Amino acid sequence: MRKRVLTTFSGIVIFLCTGIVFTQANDAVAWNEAERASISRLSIHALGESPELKVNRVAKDAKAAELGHHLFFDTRLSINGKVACASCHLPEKYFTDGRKTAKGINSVNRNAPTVVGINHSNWLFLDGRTDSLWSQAMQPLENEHEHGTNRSHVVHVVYKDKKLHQLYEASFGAMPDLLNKARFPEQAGPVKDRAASYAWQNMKKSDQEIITGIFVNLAKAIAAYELKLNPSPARFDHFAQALEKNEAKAAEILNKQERAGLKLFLNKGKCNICHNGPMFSDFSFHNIATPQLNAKKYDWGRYKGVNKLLRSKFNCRSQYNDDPEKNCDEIKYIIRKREHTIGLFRTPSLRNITKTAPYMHAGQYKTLKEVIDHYVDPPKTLVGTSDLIPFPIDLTKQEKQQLEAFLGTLDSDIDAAQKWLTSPH
Amino acid sequence: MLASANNTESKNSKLEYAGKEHAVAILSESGNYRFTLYSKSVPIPLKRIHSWILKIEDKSGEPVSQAKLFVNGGMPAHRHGFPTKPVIKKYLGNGEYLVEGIKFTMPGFWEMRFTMNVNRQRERAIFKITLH
Repeated sequence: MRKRVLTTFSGIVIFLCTGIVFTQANDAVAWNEAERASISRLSIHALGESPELKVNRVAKDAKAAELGHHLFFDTRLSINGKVACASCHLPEKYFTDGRKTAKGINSVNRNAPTVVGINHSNWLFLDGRTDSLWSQAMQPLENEHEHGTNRSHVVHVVYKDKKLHQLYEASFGAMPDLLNKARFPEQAGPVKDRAASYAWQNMKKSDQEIITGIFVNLAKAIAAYELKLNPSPARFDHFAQALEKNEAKAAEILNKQERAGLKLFLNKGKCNICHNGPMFSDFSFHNIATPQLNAKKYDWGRYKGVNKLLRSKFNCRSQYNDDPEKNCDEIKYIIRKREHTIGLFRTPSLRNITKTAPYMHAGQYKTLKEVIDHYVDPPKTLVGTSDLIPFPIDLTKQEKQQLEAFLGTLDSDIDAAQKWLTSPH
Repeated sequence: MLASANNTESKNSKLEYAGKEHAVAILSESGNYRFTLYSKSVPIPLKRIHSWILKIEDKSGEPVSQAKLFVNGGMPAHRHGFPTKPVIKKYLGNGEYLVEGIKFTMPGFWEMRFTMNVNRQRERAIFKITLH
């Protein structure tokens, strides 16, 4: 009798073990060759070098990053003394602000994208109106709705601050004497503010160039700081690494729902068409028919971004680009046609997407659920032609939940020492 | 090598188009011209702008010089074009033309479409490229 019980018990054990093996075997065959290749390319371990390293001579300079860190959190770099870069890019919100649209001196019409990992994009701003991290850093300072200040003011703040002055000279060499207020007024720049603009126009061109040169250097320092901010490997990345060696181990890293979500991401959900590469973004531009914030004043996105980029004195072709080869092919072969650029916005990275609500270029959606619903049932585009028209996406309620569960596997910390994630002041 | 008589599917080799020794040749849609294409960069890069070489010969094998050429293309399955605006502006001699500004954003199936205006006629050739 006892023997029979043992035999039966053994049979259950064998059955259970077989069941486990069977489950693992299912996992083992779950990923075909194309999916495995896609997963490998999405892994953060495939991340290459930031394009900023070529165009910014202080990109890896520790003192420049320290200066940039100070500047990023410094509210003196605004017309009212209350706005810093960190006002819209808060470390505790993964360097976003949680608002629909950002608010500096005034409200702006775009959502504040995260700074983390953005150094891997060739295009900055949601419309790609700058083509380097450093040239991006200049614009909000002089934008009347953001910091609302001017380059002379920014330069004078650094000039008069002993610590910042020292940090500047450690990276860029001696700062010229700016004490002569007739030559170097404290408020001057090519900005909308009339007094500052008038003062700028009355400066000698050579003096303007001195101020602009320092201003560019300060922007390069901010970029050096921003280069420190990259995502750590997420659970997905551990899964991708494990999948290459041991499928059973990989299956322990993502649960069944998350793995189903990844399958959908790569196949039925068609997310991988634009959200590809290690940052889960092609860093290119697409029209996905997001509702317009203002029905009377459309946001034309990339169309205006291209025009602003080509007019900019600080694009790849400028004298301030530190790349001796000045490879500006992205500008040389840029798509300009209105019908191909209108209503397009840069694909956002999906890394840590759960931390950067609300979503879309003007924060149109509060939750990822709403975003997924948008792709399944997109509205008619009001500007240009939607890239989604050829791709009807049909997902069940359960599949939508699986996809959202997968996006949660892209959560990770910021791969930077704690000191970079808090204000130095 | 002459890959096909008229724009049929490529052999999907990983080496196809990667350098002169792996150039792919096809006939134009009318069958009157042979278009030979290869990437100058090996391996064919992703997410980086680079150049290709296109050679055009007539039926008798004579190089076609100084032709007016246009290029476009993209990913038919995704219904999007190139993320750049490629151009053909330089004739290199011996029927060869420099195709500049090509950028592939992702692996997969791409098309590169060429149009040549010759003798008041339009000749088209479509290359099918699978990137791994």
